[in-house]
Amino acid sequence: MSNIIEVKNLSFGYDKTKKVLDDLSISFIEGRIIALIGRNGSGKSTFLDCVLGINEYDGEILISEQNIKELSSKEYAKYVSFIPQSVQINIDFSIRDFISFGRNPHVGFGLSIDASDYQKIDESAEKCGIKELLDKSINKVSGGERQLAFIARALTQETPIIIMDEPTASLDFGNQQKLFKIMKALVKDGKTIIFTTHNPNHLVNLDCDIYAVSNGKLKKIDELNSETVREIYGDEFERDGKSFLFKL
Amino acid sequence: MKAKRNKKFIITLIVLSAILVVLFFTSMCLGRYPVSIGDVFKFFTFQTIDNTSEKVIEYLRLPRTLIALLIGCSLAVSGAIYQSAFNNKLVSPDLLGVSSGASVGACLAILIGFSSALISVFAFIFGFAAVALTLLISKTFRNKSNIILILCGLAVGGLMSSLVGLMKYLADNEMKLAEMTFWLLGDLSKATIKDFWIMLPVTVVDCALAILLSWRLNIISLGAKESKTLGVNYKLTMALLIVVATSLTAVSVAIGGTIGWIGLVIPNIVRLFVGSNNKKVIPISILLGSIMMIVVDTIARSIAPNEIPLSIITGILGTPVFIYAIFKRRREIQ
Amino acid sequence: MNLKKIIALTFAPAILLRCLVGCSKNGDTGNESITIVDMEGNNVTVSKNVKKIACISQSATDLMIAFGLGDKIVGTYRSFTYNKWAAEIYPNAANYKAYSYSVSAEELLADDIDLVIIQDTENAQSFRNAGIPVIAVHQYSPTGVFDDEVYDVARILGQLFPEVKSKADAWIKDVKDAISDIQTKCGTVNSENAVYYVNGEKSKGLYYSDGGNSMISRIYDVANVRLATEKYEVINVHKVSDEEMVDLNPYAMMIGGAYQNNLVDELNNSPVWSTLDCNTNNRVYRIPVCMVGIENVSAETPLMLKFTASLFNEYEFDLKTEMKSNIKKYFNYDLSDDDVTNMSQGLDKDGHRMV
Repeated sequence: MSNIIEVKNLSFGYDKTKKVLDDLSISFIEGRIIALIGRNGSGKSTFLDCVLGINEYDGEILISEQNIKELSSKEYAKYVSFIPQSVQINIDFSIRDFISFGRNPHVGFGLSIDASDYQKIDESAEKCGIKELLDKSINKVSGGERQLAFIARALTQETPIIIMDEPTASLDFGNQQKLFKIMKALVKDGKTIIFTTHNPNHLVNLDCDIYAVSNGKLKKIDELNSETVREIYGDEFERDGKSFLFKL
Repeated sequence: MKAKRNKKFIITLIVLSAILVVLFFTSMCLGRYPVSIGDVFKFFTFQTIDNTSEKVIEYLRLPRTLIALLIGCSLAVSGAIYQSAFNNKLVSPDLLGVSSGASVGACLAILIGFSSALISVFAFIFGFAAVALTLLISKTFRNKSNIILILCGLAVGGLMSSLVGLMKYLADNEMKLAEMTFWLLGDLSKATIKDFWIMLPVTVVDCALAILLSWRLNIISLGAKESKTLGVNYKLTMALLIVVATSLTAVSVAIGGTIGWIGLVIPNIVRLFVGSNNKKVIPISILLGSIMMIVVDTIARSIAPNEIPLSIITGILGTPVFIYAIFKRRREIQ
Repeated sequence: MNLKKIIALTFAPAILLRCLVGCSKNGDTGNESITIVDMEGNNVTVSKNVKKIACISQSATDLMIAFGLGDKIVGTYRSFTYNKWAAEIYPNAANYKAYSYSVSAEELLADDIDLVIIQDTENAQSFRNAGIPVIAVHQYSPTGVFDDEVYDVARILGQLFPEVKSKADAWIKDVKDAISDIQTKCGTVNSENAVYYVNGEKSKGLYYSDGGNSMISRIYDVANVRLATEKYEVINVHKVSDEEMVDLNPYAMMIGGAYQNNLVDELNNSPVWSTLDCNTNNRVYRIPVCMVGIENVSAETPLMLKFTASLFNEYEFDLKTEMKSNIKKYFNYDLSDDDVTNMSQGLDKDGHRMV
């Protein structure tokens, strides 16, 4: 399998003196779930923002062998879709309208979406199990349903890569399991998913590539166990975290 | 199901357009000087009517009603754009300082003693300059957050208000002061058909752009990060939207003075009934804004022997309409 | 799309076409017209047989009535209608409509007005748009010193209505005679005595005065005093602060207008103003109010010039008899002794405050 994302010598800092990411090089294989873990402030979200092309970084990021700095917003959005962390919307779009924004990279300037686009919206909603919510307002459904709407939007965007920032943060246990189920199904369809999480427990049963972010670098974790987790989270894990790591 | 939704939207458009047309011709009959509906009909079909009635329609009512229509849709669309782009329903078109800047320009021109045409030019230029100043200041902070932009807008707006106060203080006779006061509250009594022809292209082009951009405006309202990943060039689109919204407000203020409430209230009322999708909000705001301003202007020139400043009417009329709209939709608001 | 179609199909063509055609057409006032220059330097073309005038200036209304043009006036500035002396001296004035400076053009058209004479031209453009000619008149000079501008209203009325030209000229002569009489008897002195003037025509407080280019400044000039606020060149309205008033410390004060009695109260109640030298030295004077305050350009202008001169010069002047004869001369009205007393106190015929 080929590398869908290649990062070469990536450096980034919010101010000149301290670099959050330092000469980082890594590549991700297509068709996998990629999980990023690390302490607060370790640079997970910063790394995502670089891949999303929002941070002005040094180095190169290639997606399907194309330098993202050379892609227009529209072209980029055909490769990568994004689900943000805190999903608060105070504009009451209907869920259908909201999902339809995912079609934006595929329609021309000023043109509206057509019947085939609406078909795709319905399909994605079906996949995420929110078809009956389509006419509801996005800020009148539960946090879990809203998260699903975001995923449906990413699906209608039809991108090979989906990036999620802390997707489990606002979900209850049941919805978390539902999310992972959907993630697994998507990967089966050939998509690549990159997501960050604060809870290594989630990763135990998930067939995924795990990377730890620390000291400005990304390090692959081959096996998740007490040893590796302690290495990432340090003493805090030592004291009372041991028992949390379990296999379902 | 999609067809059904669209049908409702189209029916709304047709009904509002019909109301607009009826109101337009009705307002030709209403005012201090009585003109019959028959005379209005004759006027528009090029038949002769009595001289005074013709003068009243041709030189007084027609120009100001047409301009009221343009101002109504300009302010409503401008408000809808600002509110959506900054994801804040409580902002008015003055968010980045355009109307207060235009006020400074107009008051300065009045103070110097310029003609009404130059007052408009000054208003337009200063309106844009104030927005440019806001953007420039916010740029120096190197922080991309919209909050910074809004705060800078507040600061520039505050400065401009003080300058307006200074101009009013410096006004060296009562006439200039009265002119400024009238101008600051909105006034169409001096409007001529020439003003309409000046305003028409700006409003039409801007409103067309707003309709074309309405889809992207939806996405912009989700913020920079999501816009980028949904394939919208955030910076460019935002810049374009700001130019459109600013020129709409600037041209309205330049012709009719500062008129409050319309830009804030109309888009909110529209959103209460059709939701936030700008593909619907923008066209309906155009119609509702026009309707509202025609009503306001007709009242302003009808109920008293004197011209009543427009902002007084928009405030008095806007408040109950707004409260009624909120009341009707109280359960859906959270 | 739908929206544009609907609008385009229904009413846009008719209106736009009508606007285009409308622009090329222009109403004319007929061949019997005259062009005059008003006090703002505008060339105004007016029909020669003007019948209905909105005379939105108290001063010009007074002069029009004095010249016998009172029946051409439909309405006047609203303050004029509040003054009971107007209807007393000229009963027809009771029928005058009260206009404000911001009267709407439609209202004027509804009243069938064919000429507007107005003091405050903020709204004049809308009258012109409606095809009503506007003549601007002022109590100050927009460009410089108020000098021969005193005669402008009379000159304009004489031009507009040839039948009253002799009356207008007679008034001009009266004013000129008054000035030359004062100058022969008192000379022209460059006095240091500053007199503060309170414009009490509107309820705007003691701070409301006039500037160096105004009618009052011209009157003081003749009376060999100077206007305390003369340094405020083009300024017509000025807010003098308490501190500045102490600094100005005028030699005397004159309070005019319908609100003068209220203003005298205000003066006596203010710790700053009441202790000014002019008040403690009893040099606060009221300006009589007839149909208008006589410090306005009006039929009473010769009276005002002499009255002011008598206050600050060795100039003999009997207000009572001169007032009676002046009112008799211009308005053919016989004032009683009580009337004169009331007028000189700024009171109405019954001795009540005007406002």
